[in-house]
Amino acid sequence: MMNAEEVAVGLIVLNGGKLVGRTRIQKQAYLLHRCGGNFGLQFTYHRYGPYCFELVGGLNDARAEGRIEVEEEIGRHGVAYAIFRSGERAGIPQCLGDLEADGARNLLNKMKGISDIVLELAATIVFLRDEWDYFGKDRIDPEEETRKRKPLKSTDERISAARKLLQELGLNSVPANA
Amino acid sequence: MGIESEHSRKSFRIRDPIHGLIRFGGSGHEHRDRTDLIAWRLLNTKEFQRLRRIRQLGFSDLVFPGATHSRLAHSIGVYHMARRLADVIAQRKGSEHNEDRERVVLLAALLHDVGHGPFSHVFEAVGEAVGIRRRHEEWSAEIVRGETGINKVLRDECERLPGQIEILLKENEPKDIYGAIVSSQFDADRLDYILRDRLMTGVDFGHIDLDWLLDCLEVGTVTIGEDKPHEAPCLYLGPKGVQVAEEYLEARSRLYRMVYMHKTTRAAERMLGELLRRVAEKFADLPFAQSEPVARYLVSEAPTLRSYLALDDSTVWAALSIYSGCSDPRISELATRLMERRLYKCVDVGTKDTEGGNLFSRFRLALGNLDAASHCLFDDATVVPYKWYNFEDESALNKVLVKSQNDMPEPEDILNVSEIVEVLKKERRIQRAYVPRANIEALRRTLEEVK
Repeated sequence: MMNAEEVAVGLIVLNGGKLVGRTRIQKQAYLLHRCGGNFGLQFTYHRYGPYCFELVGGLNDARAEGRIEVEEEIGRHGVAYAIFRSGERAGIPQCLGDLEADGARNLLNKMKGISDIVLELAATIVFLRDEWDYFGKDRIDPEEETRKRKPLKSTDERISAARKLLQELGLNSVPANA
Repeated sequence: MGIESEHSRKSFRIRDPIHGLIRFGGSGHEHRDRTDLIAWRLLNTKEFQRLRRIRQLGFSDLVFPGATHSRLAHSIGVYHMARRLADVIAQRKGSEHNEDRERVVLLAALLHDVGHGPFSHVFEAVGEAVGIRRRHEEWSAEIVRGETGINKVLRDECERLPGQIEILLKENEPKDIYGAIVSSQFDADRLDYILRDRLMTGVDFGHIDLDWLLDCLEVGTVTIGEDKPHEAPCLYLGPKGVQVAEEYLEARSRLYRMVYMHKTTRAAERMLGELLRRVAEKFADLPFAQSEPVARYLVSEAPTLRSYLALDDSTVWAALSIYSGCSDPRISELATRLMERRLYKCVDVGTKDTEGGNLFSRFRLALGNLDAASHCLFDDATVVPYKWYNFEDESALNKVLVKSQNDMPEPEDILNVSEIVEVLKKERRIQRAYVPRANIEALRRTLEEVK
């Protein structure tokens, strides 16, 4: 079991010292947790897929302790987004939960270039499949359920990319009734 | 509200403290009147009547004694607001208005809270902690789909209706402009609860000019998507609506700070959460757990819809009365304190950072060796009154969109035109500890020491 602050700092450092967006950090944390990180954090169903409130606290603590820096930048359409950078006191993690640092870094590399929406869909499919208890779970596969809940985001192309990512991470999407 | 004579009457009426007279039927519009009649039948099902026994604001009446309004009253208000929003859409869309879709959305608005449990968010959090990984949205969908009076009323009208409503209740994003009635910044739920919670708590801030706001709402499209930009339908406010949008967001922000996150209410919630977790842990193997509905639900490996629908605020209060005589001293103490409103007191740590790092983390660490903190409950929450969403994906539809000039090609985020909203986008963190009054000084001293 790892505390949320260590997970937050570790994720940023192992991403090369920079991570953009709050959604991205949440989804990466969840996927890594499921890839064997076993962080001991509680993820719950959220509008944008699995979400961990403790991780938000961990980010705040890490920022307060100078282990990470958070910048808010203005993107297109004048909307701000958060950039997380490792700070001077971040340290170099030897592991991330039960994953060796190198192993975690390799998994994070597989998520590079994958859009936030695809990460969200991939994390949601796994979460609905293995953790969240939705009615009809015995007959509705998690991919179909994800499409129902996120009808606009779940284009065929994105679902296909999510499926591919899950295969690469070793978290293959298997329908609950298969 | 009997339904026995519904066929012989043209309409039914309810008086509401927020919206005045809410009429079901009698509008002269056949399609809407038929929807109203279904809504009226839904109101009279036992699953909907259960909401009469669930308070909208849980423990808030411990601080604001007037805040005893039920989820039933709120749900009726939401239905009324949904009709007003649907009228705006119908007026703007003219002949393109889809009456069948409107019906699904209005009934979904009425039923959106039907799956709430007692002391909703506390109960859900305890449920999750003990392995019941199901939120009220899942229960709402199941109440609509499963063998219930609500399902029967809907199927009597149309076999497909329960499935259509179930999907809408589960959707995390509005699929079309009608979906915005149940899920958007100006959805019917928010419009009603802001007005209702303000009135019932008696707070004297947060007035919203609702008529003006609705009159300024327009139907349009906004371009979203980085890779493949496309147009998505949205509700937005015209140039004269910017100020009322600010009022609306400010009202929500202040309600969060001064009502929903009130230290005393949160203390009671933390105490109930701790109590129920302990009940689930201690009673799991006792026969008692099978006879008392709250414990039965919490210790069940696979709770059924029936066991869930047996729960409401009154069953929790009745359980507290039983728990107050429990042999476990912690359960007994917490139950008795809640019943007598002898709540834990709050040490507000604030969000100050010190040279040694985050104050709350250090405070918690320091409390580890303190006997007076053995029963301490913590609260660490973040509130963002106006969340940022980008235009990269469909979450853009959760923005407050405005056209500050009539000739703008498409609406923009209110952040671009409002300094007030610029302030509201900042995260506010709450960090508190709660202990019995006798221990409060010891905690305050510890806090001073670590500062």
